[in-house]
Amino acid sequence: MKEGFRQSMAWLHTWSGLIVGWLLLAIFLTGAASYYRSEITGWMHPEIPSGAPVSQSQALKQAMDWLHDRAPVANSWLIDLPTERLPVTQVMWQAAGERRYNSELLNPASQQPVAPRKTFGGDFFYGFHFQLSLPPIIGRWIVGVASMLMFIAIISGVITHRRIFKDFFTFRPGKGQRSWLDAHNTLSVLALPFHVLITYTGLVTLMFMYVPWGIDLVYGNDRGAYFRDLRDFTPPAAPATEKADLAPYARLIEQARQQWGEGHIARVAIGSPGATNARIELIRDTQDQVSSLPQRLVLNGVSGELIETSDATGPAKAFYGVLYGLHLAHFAEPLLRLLLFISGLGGTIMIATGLQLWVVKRKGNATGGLYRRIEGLNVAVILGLPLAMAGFFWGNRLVPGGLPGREIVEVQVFFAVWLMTILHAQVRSIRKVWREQALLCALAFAGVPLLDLITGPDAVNGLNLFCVLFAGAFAFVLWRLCRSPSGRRSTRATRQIESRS
Amino acid sequence: MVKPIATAASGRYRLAVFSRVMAALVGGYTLTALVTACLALSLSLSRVESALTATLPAFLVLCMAVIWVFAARSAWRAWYGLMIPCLILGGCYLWLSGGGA
Repeated sequence: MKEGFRQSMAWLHTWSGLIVGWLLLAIFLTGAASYYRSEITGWMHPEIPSGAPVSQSQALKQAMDWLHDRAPVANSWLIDLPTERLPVTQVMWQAAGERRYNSELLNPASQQPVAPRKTFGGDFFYGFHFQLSLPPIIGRWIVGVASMLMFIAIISGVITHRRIFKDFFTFRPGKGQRSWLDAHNTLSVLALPFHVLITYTGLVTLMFMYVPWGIDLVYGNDRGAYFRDLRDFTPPAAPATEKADLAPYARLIEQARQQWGEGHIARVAIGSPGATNARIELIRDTQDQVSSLPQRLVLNGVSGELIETSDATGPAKAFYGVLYGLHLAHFAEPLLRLLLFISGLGGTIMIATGLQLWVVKRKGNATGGLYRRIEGLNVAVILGLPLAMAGFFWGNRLVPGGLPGREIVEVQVFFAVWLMTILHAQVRSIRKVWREQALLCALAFAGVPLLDLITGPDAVNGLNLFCVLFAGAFAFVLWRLCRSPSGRRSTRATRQIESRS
Repeated sequence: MVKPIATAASGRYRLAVFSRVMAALVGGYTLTALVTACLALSLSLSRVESALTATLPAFLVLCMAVIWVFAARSAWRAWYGLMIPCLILGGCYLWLSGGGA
């Protein structure tokens, strides 16, 4: 650390990266998968028809009629209208005197509830991405610390990286440690803006948990007031006892059309439906804006008159909305979404190459038990996690639809597979571990579309296509591992390092 | 995990590294908290704007503090470099919160 600025930054980069490297790899990979959260949810609910798009007004009418029959007396109704990415209407209602929301999926084409198998769908990867399937406070703090170290690793990595543009065009394959470093540098620099942005905006999404003083000093204990200010939201009053008919759906559609144009309602929230003081909130989709803060309209629930619109946004709020929105990327069109997904995968491989670099560098002089543990853990995260994710998809198709608590079983399959890969990586010889887990990954991903074909009505979808591509990628990795005479690249590097020393 | 470096280094070096890690953790986070608190109290914007403006740069502050800690010539300098701004900001915070009450 006494050697000068760049060297001390190299030290900082290595250690901040290594300590949380495995965690970050898992956060990046599940985060990349979360770009396709809706699509994964759709795939895991094969009962949801992937039919023709339905008009918003038809879906809204159907949802309001259904709720009117099913839950005429309720504190509130929530209606999430179908989107192109997930063509199903979700209705939620909170019965009078209850805190809990009930939920049902409606098929917008047949006007009937779909009875999908219970599953967390894409929400599982999404939740794991920032909470690691742990209790919220603990999980989010661990992810926060890891993200902060990632941010420090990125900034110190840039500082320590002397020839950032020259190295950008440099890749020397088959040269052991040098190749790992080249791969690490190229992947890092290639998507550097993405890495910086996704890490900082990720921290921003939970910033009031990590750094609460800004909000505490301004709002005291009243966080509810903050959320009301942030979302321009006036909380609804308690339901009145007198009854009145709810404004017809056509009135809602018309109000939204006047303000926003055709087909932009994402969610309809109806407070005190059926009472004289019913209140309807229309929440706009955010597909055509970067900011994650949606526009809202509040209507009188009986007359359908417009009561409130979102206020003009201050600069800090607008900036916050943009940072938050950049992380969630709800705005992303299919091509942009694909590029973001690829960047996320690139970040995952960047972390993987960084971890491998650490192992390869020390192979000559450290052969102790701890070193072997780290080497094994690297494989169990780099190949074991994708295998567990494929296992999650297998579980979705193989766990019986009617099994009680089947959504939990799917998650257990995910963790069981991951645990097996961790154990496997510790007991087998490291060469075999790489080959066997790569082989299993290729087979597991190739099997996903086949399983879908056997069990589902329609196997032509994006997720299956991605699985075929992943199967091919893992098969390529396997081929490279087997072709390399000494098993894999890093061992060749070791011999070079050993022969030099 | 510290082994490969530690075996090559003296106990004194290890202590200095530990000292810097603590400076980054405790000093860096304290500095971040104080910057956020002083901004939140001194900005005369609407409530939501103040809270957001004060908190958004927090992770940049923390990152800069950590880089300072590991770039400083000695562990002592690293500590001083954080303690001085912390004391100044701490004074500001007391003055700001006292004036507001």
